[in-house]
Amino acid sequence: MNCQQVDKLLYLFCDGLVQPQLRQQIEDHLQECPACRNNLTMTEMENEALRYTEDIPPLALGFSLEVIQKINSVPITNHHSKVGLWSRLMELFRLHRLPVIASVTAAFLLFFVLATSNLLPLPGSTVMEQSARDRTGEPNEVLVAGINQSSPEKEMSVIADVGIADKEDSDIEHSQPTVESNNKPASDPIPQEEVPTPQVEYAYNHTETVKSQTDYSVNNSITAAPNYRGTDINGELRPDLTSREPFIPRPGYMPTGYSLTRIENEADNITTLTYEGDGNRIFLRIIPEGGEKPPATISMLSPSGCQSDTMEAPESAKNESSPQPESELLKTKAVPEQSTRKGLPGEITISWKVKQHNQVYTIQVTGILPPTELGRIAASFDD
Amino acid sequence: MTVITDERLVHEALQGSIEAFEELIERYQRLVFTIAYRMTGHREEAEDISQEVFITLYRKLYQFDTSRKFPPWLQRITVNTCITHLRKKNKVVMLNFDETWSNRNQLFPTANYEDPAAVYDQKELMAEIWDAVRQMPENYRAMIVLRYQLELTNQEIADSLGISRENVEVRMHRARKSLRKILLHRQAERREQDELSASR
Repeated sequence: MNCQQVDKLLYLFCDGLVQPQLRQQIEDHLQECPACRNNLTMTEMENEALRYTEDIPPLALGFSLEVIQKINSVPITNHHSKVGLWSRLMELFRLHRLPVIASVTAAFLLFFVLATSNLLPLPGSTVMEQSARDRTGEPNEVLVAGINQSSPEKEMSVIADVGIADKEDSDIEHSQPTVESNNKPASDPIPQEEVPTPQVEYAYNHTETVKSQTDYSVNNSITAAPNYRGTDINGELRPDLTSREPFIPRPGYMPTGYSLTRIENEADNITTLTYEGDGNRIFLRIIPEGGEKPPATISMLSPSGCQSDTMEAPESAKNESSPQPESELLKTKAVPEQSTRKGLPGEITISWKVKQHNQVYTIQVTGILPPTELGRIAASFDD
Repeated sequence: MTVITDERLVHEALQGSIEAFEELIERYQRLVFTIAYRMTGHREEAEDISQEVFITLYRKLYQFDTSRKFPPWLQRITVNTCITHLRKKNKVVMLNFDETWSNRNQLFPTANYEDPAAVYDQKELMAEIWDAVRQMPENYRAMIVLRYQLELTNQEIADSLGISRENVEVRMHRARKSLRKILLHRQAERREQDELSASR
């Protein structure tokens, strides 16, 4: 075997891809030829560099979500898109299509007449929805926590719960909307025995809180849960918490540009934190699997892949024999949800799971924001 | 725990399941990004290309033959997207893949090997070699990335690019030779510069 033959087979030789017999011949040649040995060394060094992958940067957080958003925003093209506007207009006014155009026009006119004379209600336009628009001064389609506003029963239950809270807390009386239902007479009071009495305590700016709930249509399971507890971030207006300590996040977990405005501890030990900033509002929910009580502190590892927990254990935990909390990021998943109205950005949730002291928590960050922005916020929950 | 196959996910995505498609993205985003990053050398560019790949994938999903493996098909889309992007960007006047480049390589002097340890600092080697790879034509670059970054066999590369295994072997040999030529050329240029600066 000569140098030229060895040269041709050298990279295969380095990767162990040559037949044993051929391999022996190459090795024999290499023992005799210093130039080919040098070539071999160079090839091995190149191979090592070509296989190096550690310098490849990580992908941006929320990449898949961004792709899905782009896919949703790109219109589906069909053959019509390639036809010019003039040609399409001409095609539209071809003689044989005139009867069809006439029929469509007649149907449209009929629909218009019926709609303006209130004989045919527009879909989703109920008296209650109109009332909600009146009291908020803006359309009520922006959903944050996924309430289906088109259901009159559900809306009634929200209003009923707020009404009970109103009874208990006179501070918020002036902000209570008066709602008339289409299904029941306005004068008919809501029976007390049908609704469980919630122990609602509004600690952080009562009037604002109730108004924002109306504006954003916050999930009624949060606002009207029977075991609802609210507290101020400074603890000044902290209510008498008899059941358990609320979850207080570390300041380091605050997303940049946002401030924590509300903490809610719901039933099933679910905690919701509300952050506000830049005219936006985001919600962070901590959902313990199996409804177990969460500890006073938890490491909310960001979905960017942090594996270690550097936070100190709370005093109560230090007294116990348990070591430092060991947290582990389990799974990350971004869940885009469809917008309720065409053209509006949809609600986006980025969620991930954290395991601490053998208890699994789902962390959800929800907001109506561009996915990259929400990704940045979610990443900032990492310390 | 049963793992849903890629082919099943494609099938579900074709039925309209956006979650299935999202799962495909989660599985392959790193692979696609690795190819794009190695082909371009720029993170932002590679991310843009990766997005373009998955959007193209979504549009062409109906063309996928579910009786075949999914990764080679995706790799082919990725490589083609990268090459198209690079050609658009650089407005490269493309040379014939199999003839012109290899003939041009013959103009270079034959290998005059030196002790590699004397030529390269170990730390500089990675950057030096990947810079050299990015001087190669896109087709050769793709071969190198698939072979060494994704650790594909020649047969898998053949499946991905839709060419024969023998053709892959020939092209891979030429790619390696062209890489060596570029490295030696850069080394000679550097030596000349060093000599010039020393004489001044």
